[in-house]
Amino acid sequence: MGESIIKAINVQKEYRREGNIIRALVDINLDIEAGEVVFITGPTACGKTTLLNVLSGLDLPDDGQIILDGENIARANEDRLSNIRRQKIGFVFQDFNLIETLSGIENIEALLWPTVLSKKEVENRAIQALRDVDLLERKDHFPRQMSGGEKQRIAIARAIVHQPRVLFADEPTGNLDPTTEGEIMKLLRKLNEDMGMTMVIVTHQEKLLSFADRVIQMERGRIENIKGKR
Amino acid sequence: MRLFSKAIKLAMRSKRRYIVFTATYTVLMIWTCISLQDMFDEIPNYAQTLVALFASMFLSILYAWIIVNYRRTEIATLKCVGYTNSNVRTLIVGEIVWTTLSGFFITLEILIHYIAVNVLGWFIGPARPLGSVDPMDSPITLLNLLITLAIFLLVQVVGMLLAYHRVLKVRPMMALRIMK
Repeated sequence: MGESIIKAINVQKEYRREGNIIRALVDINLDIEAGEVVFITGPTACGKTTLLNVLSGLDLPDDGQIILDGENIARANEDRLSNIRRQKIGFVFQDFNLIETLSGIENIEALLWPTVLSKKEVENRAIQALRDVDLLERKDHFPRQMSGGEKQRIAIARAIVHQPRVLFADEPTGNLDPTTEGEIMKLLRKLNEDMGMTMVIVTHQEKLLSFADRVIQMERGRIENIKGKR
Repeated sequence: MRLFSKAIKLAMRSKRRYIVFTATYTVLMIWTCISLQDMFDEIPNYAQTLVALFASMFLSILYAWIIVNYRRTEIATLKCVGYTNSNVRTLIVGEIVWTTLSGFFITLEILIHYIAVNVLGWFIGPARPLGSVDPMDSPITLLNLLITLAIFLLVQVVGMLLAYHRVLKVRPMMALRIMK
């Protein structure tokens, strides 16, 4: 067995909506190894995005522990979580979430603006990230001048520019056509193999599951089953 | 310091909003300066000064509110990728302060040009151009302009703190969810 990078222990999460209590996560126990590509799948509103948010520290569980790289992030304060996100985690969103007034390379550099890295180093890292996603020729283009696939490549470059240990992606191909979604998944798989980056990806598209090392099937806030190598 | 310079870039890239609010600030600053000058006149017009100050205050807070609301998606995204509340604050403050300073510099430019035209007119044109007895006279003095800038910056900070308080309080993913 490899090194554990994310561990969820008895995680619970509830929401209140219109007076009703919705159990979004129920007794979640999970162990993800470093370098694994794990897909979380299941029907709409089964809790897969909630699980991703909780595993990544974007949302806090009501109960239980989330051990990320040896640290319980379920009890970390906001500043500590920000630091963890900047150092150890990368995010890819379904809607890309690029800043429209910044060019491709500036969107990537933006993640490194608050760091102590020199201007040259920030630029070098952004260029390397653009090379990794094979989009260097579009570095000075603005998001409005790019296709959906190109925007997602920029978003992926932004997510890996600080060389995180784990990359989280919420429906990364949800807004893309079938050809482009295959390209994006191949790119993510290549980044995983080249960099050894752990990936946790939420998707409802069954045809993409072949890219995973393990697939976590969720149903009504619970892990229904886990398919894969382990 | 890098974040502050990036805030200036973000402000100037939002061209339409930057131009509209810089122009608004310029007009308000001139009005406030003139009102302040009136305070020192023989018959001070307190009502006009108070109206000018309150209008400036209201519009400053409104601007801060608009700018934060406009940038909410970006703020939430930046928080998702590791920006601290303090980093976000620097970006927002930088953008607002830069727009205010732009209004100040334009007002200063107008003041310099006003005096220059008067001086030039005194020597080569008809006497007392623009109705001034002394060519160096101006309805806006540098002191008034500096007082106005100080008031504007103070009001900006208050408005900004009020406006982005709710954005800073929400968790990053919640902020994104609210906006969708």
